Amino acid sequence: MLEVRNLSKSFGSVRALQGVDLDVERGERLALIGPNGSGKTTLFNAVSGAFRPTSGSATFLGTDITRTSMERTARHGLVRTFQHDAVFPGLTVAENLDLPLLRRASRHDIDLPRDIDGLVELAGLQGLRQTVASTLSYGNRRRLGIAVAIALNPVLLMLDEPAAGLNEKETHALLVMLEKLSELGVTLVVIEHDMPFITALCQRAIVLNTGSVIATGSPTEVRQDPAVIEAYLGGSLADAV
Amino acid sequence: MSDTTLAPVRPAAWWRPYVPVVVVMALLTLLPHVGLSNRHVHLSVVCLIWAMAAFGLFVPYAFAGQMTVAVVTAWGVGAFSTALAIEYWDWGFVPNLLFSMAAAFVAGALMAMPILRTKGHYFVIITFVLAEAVTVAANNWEVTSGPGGGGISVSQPIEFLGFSFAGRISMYYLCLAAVTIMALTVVWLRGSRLGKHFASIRENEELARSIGVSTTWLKILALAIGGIFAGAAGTFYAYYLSHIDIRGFGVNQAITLILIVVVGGRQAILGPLVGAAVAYYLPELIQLDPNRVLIGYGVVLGLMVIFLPTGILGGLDSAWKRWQRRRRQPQPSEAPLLSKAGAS
Repeated sequence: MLEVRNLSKSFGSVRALQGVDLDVERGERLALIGPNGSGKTTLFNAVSGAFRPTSGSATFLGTDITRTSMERTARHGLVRTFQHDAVFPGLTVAENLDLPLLRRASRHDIDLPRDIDGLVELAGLQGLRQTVASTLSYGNRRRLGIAVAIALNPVLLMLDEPAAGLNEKETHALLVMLEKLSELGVTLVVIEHDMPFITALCQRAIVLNTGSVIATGSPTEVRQDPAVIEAYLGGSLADAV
Repeated sequence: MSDTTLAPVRPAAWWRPYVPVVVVMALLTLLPHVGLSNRHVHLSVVCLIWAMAAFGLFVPYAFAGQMTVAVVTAWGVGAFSTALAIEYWDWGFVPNLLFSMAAAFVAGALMAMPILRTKGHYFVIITFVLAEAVTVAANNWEVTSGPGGGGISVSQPIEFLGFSFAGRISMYYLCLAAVTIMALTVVWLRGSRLGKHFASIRENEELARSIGVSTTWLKILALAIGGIFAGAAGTFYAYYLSHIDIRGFGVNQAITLILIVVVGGRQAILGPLVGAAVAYYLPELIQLDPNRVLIGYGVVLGLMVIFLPTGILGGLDSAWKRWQRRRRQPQPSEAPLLSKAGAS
């Protein structure tokens, strides 16, 4: 479904991504993990069209999206969420969902809720339709942000730290929501630091460090990978472990 | 942070947002009959024209969050299109109005082009420079500077539907009708699909892009649509004042337009009308020295930012909602005993 080949991105002398290869299969639940500054969000940005990569290519459903804008990529079915500011703060929950519904794509293989009520129910925001988004609790705002993305009927949903800052109960509600999405046919790529969350949700994990892929495997496998341990703890500490 | 859950509300009737506009405009039809002097009727007409031009800024600013100084250029383009079309082709009011609106739409779009490369404050600064550049160029072009550089005269009144709008009162009603149509159009635009897309840019541009909204082109469209309103204002301005000068469309006027929109409130459709009354009519009413008007504007703007950041109508709306909330909340003595017990 998504093929990323030798993708690099530099900001001046800083090489944020260095020849990243990535394959995402239809229906997969893939985790993208790595220490802070490892290039996870940069990879999201480069693939989703937020900015153009310096070199390399990205193909989505057979179409080259390397230099495609975020607007076009979204219309194509690849939708991403943001770590911060993922809602329209001054609008109500219903208005937040109404906007993407106007741009909803019809697809023969995926049919996510097509009305505000269905999306509100999926996101667990019942009773909050007329609430202004900026006054929602943090957890509800995160779920609303994901619901905004779902309203577009995406084929591939890229989530940037969806569980960050959520308490245990909110994280569980998010997990249930994402599992339901996966059952409905949406492919998920998730950036996350919460390993129990990743282990419960994803079948496969890719670990990035300093802009390169250093490990691939199941979440349990990559946690035991010496390169991953070294990346997270540093050389001397990893040796001590 | 707790959720502010409101009681379930029924979907508002489609006509409800139009009602305040119709009511206020209906009340304003009475204004010439309350014993206003000729001078005040004249000031009211000019005030209405300022409100029309302010709608040209209101649409991109309130809907899409795009501030521009170049709205004053679109206003000037409208006025000069009218004056030149009368001088060279002797066109009537309706073709003139349509021509001015089209020319100002194009001008608005062209002046918005820097948004392809800039945003926010940088864009405002560029529009400021562009507006000044156009003023200087037009002032040195004999077609627009007029004979001897003194401007262009418009020698005929508005003739429309068999009526001649030569008098002040008739112009008042015509301008009031134009402002009403503009305000109703703006109400419609806000609830339209296009208006919702504009709102997405204002609220969170990056998120809007991520859901497939072509934010750059929509920002240009919002600024160009604003040009249409400003262009129409230019037509009325040229006809009513009978003489236009490029110096009447400079940075001072742009500042006044910004003040009008900020003072009126960017979320209130009638904001430009209220803002024009405060920023244009009030200084005239108290006969403030023109040299002190700009100082007054600065003071008002500072006070607005501190005390009424959402403008006069926005402030009134907040106060009304606060009062309603307070009225709904039970007083401590009225609170049910059971909930008191439950809380302890």
